[in-house]
Amino acid sequence: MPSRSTIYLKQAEKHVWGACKVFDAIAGISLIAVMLLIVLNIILRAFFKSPILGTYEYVGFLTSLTVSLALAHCALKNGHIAVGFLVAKLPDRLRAGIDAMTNAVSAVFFIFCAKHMLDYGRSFAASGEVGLTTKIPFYPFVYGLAASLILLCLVLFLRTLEMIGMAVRR
Amino acid sequence: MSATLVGLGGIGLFFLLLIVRMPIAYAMVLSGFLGFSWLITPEAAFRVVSKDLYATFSSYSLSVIPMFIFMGFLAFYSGIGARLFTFAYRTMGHFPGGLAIATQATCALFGAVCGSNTATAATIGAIAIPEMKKYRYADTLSTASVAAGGALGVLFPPSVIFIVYGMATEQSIGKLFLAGIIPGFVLMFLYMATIFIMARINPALGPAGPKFTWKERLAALKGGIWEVFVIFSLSLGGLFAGWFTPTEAGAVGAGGVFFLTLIQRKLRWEGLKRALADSTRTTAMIMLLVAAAVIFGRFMAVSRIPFELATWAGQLDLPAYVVMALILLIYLVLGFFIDALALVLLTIPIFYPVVVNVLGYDPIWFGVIMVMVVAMGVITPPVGMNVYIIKGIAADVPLETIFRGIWPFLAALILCIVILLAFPSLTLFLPNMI
Amino acid sequence: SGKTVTLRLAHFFPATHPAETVMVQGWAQALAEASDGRIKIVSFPGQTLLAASEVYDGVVTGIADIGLSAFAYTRGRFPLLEVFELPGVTYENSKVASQVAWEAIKELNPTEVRDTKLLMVLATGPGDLFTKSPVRTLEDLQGMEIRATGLSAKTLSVLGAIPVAMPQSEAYEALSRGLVKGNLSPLEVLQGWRHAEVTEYLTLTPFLYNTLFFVTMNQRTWNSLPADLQAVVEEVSERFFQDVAMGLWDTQNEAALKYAVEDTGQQVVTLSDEETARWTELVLPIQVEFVEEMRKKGLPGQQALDLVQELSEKYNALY
Ligand code: NA
Ligand code: NA
Repeated sequence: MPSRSTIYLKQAEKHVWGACKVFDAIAGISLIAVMLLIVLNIILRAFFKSPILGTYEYVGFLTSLTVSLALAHCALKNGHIAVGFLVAKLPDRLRAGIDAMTNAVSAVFFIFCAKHMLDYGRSFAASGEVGLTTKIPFYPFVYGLAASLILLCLVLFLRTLEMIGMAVRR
Repeated sequence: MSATLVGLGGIGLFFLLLIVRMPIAYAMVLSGFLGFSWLITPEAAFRVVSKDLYATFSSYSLSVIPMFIFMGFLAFYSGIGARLFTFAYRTMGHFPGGLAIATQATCALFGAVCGSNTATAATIGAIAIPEMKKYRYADTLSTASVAAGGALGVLFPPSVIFIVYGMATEQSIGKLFLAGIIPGFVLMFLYMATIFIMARINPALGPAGPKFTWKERLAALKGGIWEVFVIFSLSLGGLFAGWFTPTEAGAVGAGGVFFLTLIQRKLRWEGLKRALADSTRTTAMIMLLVAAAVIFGRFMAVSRIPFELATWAGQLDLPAYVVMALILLIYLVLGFFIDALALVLLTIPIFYPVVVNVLGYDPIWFGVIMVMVVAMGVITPPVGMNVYIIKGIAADVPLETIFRGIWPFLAALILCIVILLAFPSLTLFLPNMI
Repeated sequence: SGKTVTLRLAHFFPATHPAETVMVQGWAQALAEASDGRIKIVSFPGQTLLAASEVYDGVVTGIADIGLSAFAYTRGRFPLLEVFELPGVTYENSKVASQVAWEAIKELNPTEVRDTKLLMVLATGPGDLFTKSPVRTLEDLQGMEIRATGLSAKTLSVLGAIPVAMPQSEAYEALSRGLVKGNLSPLEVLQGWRHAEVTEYLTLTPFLYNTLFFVTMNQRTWNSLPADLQAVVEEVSERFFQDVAMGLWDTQNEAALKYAVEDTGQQVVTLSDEETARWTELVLPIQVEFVEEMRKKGLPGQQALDLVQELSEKYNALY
């Protein structure tokens, strides 16, 4: 019979994974949007002599969404590559212990990064800095990146718990 | 503690983190952050991390990467890549390693329209590696040949590295572009010869297939290939003709494949979803790595290690070619750890005056050597961007396997550099014509 | 004598650019001499420490102690200082533009730059249009894609061109590919960024454009300097501004013009007075709009504009 903490953990995993999927879906939509925007801009420029002003900046904003929002899902799928051969030969439990440690360190580091990313976004909002041509403010996209880092931390934190579980399991 | 010592400590920490299987991007950001904190302040270091993450992710120039990745995955999931490679296989497959040889030609062709080493490796890799796997090529050969082939993407114009170098040294970018062409062919043939020889010695690397008739070869081209040809020529031709930037060419290519396969119903909803998911995952991985390399590069800059190294090399009282060889050795070693573009930006201010003014080498020639040096850096362990990208595409192949396959190609690269050192006219013939 | 202070200076110019070799290194040497070696500047050129748009914020947060960059790269952060980049004000050369800006900033003391210790400002001087096809009249400019950022993007769009924003470092490739058909920039860019290789014509437009660079120091770093070193920095910077910095771009612009015309065969187009009047008429509403926007923000836009016009007339006659 699963203990209460295991049930909570499963629930948390379900929510975090769900959030990762939603973020990743928005990242995918942004990717398609970049593609469509550029193609539309080329058509308007070539045939109607009236390109979309600021395409250059919109592409930057949308690409930042694509990359940021896909970070956590990529981590979930073990997409951020590591050099595995050095720990591969260690016993399973020791390896899980090491993985728990690296995940914990990463989670703590990225939560600080997220906090400072929020500060960075706030400083953009305060200084009133905007895109050179479109005059769209930067800070919402910086906040988007901060939110993605928080989600990344949650993924790393849950993985830490999972690895601790594997390390102490009899 | 001196800045140099902190710099060495940071490099050591980076390795330690790699050993305990921390993802490479995290390890680079973390050790870069800690080193920067030590030398400046934690507050400044956090701001560097924030700035470089956001600036990299939102860069228009780098948005070429997701576009070409998406194009590659679309072509892959709609089966277009498979048909192209059926043709390549029926044409070249009866040679030992023939499909990998054909891939080098594809890299060169694509490199003629794409300015980025990594984007070339990513695009060709997404199509070629699964196909080579299908034809029972060894993982070492299939993955490493594409990782190395990415270098052809920056040797053939256009080329991001040439542009950066030209800007930094006030050399003609047009001349630099021309200078890359002949070395590009030299490297391509060296790579092809390497594959051929390896597959001759060990046929299991790239098994020779049956020979096909020309009728069979052309038959492989049927079934929608001509439309793809139109899209590719529009995307790449538009880039050549000066209608598009590289990012735009990527978007046109991806858009073309997208609409065509949608209309012809070759790409189902499921395929599109998988192409998107693979693209966002690969994009996130690559862009985080690029940003991480920039952050680590900032730490290296404030540690002054590149500066100290170069000053020392410039003061040596030795013949020019010996100093040049030493400098190349330094680049080889630094290239193990530092991202290519960061390496070029960090070291040009220091090495360029030594090489051009002190040793008297031609500045255009040195630009080509710079690109070759970068080509080595992106495939050597433990920090080899192209290898990481290929790993992202061929998720089931261990990183070590790819790096194991790299050595023959690294040898080919070094041989190519020696050839360019011995015969500067190979590089300078074309640019001197204008 | 006290202990040595080492200061990190970040900028985006290539290491071989005179902004580094003449300006930064010259200033650093003058500081070292005047302080008996107690001030040591370590320069990080070519965006190795901070990207062009990040320099000011990087100085505020202490990533660098000193930064050199352009106000225009961070649009919205320096609203009042846009007065120096308004079209319709003629600057004969960079000396005039630099002197006007420095004097006006001292008088206006804008809140937006009070979070750092501003040491110098220097202007590029007039911006000109370099294009792939000739621009002799307004009609030639209609629908032409021109690289421009910030305020000059607005200027070009009221003139009927299509502004395309991108950093100077990416403009070469865009020009060579024909993605943009021209660039509105100081002449120096023709040589320094090799744009003469990818454009054929040059239209002189000294009333369209000006860009202002700053050299500024982190406030905490400044406060931590002993009083005698603060005095050295202020004195040397003021002298260096007068002797070297304020006219730096003029030397550059002259050399670049010579290079473009003699080495690459650039053809120079001078607008007729009648044509100049047509252009000026179109861009003047931007000044009105600026004053209106400043009024909404509660900033002294009209006062700044009047001051700039008065000073530019004065120094155009002088230099
Ligand atoms: Na290329
Ligand atoms: Na490497």
